[in-house]
Amino acid sequence: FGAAGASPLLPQFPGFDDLYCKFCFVYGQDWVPTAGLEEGISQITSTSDVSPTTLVWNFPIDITFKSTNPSGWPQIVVSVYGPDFFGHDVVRGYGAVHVPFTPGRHTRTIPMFVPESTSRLQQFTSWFTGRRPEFTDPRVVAQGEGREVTRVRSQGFVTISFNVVTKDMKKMGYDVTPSDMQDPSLGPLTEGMHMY
Amino acid sequence: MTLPGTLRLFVNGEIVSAQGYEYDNLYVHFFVELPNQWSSPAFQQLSGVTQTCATKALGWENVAYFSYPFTLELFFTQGAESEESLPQWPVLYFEVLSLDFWQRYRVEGYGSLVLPASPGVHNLTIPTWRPVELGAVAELRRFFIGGSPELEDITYVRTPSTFKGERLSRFGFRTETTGSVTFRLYCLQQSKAFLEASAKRQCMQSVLDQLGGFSRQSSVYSVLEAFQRARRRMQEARESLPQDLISTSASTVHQLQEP
Repeated sequence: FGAAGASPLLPQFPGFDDLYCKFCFVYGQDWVPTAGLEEGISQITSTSDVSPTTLVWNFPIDITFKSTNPSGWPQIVVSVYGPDFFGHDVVRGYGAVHVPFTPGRHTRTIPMFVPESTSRLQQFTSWFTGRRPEFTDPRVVAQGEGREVTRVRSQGFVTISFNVVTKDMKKMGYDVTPSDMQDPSLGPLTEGMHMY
Repeated sequence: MTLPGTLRLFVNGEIVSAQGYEYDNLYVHFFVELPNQWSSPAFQQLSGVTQTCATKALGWENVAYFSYPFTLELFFTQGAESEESLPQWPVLYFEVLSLDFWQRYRVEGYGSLVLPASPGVHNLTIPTWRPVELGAVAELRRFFIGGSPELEDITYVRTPSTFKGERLSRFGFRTETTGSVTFRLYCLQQSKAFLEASAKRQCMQSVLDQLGGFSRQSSVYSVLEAFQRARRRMQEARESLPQDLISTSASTVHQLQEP
């Protein structure tokens, strides 16, 4: 079965400006991306005087996956970067969310977090030199292992809107809709369309 | 009724309003981009421009209500070779521009909208951004003279049409967030596949699954059509035969049967 999604991004980082993001997909072994963008870097967006708190990337994320197994369902990992006071490019947040199961339009607002330095001295030097602690591979936020040794601070949100289309889920016997959606009282809606 | 293996998408759309923009006298210019397997009838206009509308203040924002209706009729045909991949849905690209006192226009924002894959009513508010250049000169020029950096290829808002590859990078391109545009779309889908779906009311099987089997069905359909044509030709030929030939053949049959 396959799944596709196309989604723009909308960050909310109060107090920060000139942000860009990198995204990538993390998926299991049975998943293969067949078409579309697997990774991307967005443009640098800034706030305007008209709406000083909103930031918009509208970065399209068009991807199609093929799989034989729901294990390893794709997650999108987003990392946001921006300049600090001295002009260095530093990380502003990491976040990850699973691509929704059900077809249709979904909006997800994911909270982001940023790694923290272990000691006060390191905190000061990293602020000064612009070499803040960051993950060597952002994909680590998509899994739970190895997190017990990290310390992070929450910072900001990113809103992703997904448009998911699936194929052959029913054919393979997968059920993703809650059982009350199969209520025959929804019948009149589909009946009306047959008239055409 | 559509041919088997075809989905007809009929959209009654409306550009409702644009809000949160810096300048007044806004208008929206949009066009629809059709991916490979999509087509539209010859009369179908795939682009449009709204009227120029002055804004009014509503709360914190300045809103311009366009109420600009448009209709789209598009056909999706599932090809045999692309049964494995999922179809790409058409995208509506739009730009918001403002007209100043000197009749010069400036770009207020670019945005894009993927047409919804599910039928029904959809109210969508799409935020937009406009390209900016570093430094004060470009902004001063925009304020005093009018004119602004524009995108040469509006499909850059999503994936540029000339882009091939897996990793898109827009790094280095600077934009500023501007307002948003609200669309209301009423989507209707028609396909032979829906008729079969009524029998299995319980499963909300996607029409895409059923369109897939139609390459075989369409070849069966074309065989049936060819048979019908041949039969018609035979009937016409039979009519044009001289009558006595038919009657003698009938009498010889009788004679054969007698003894």
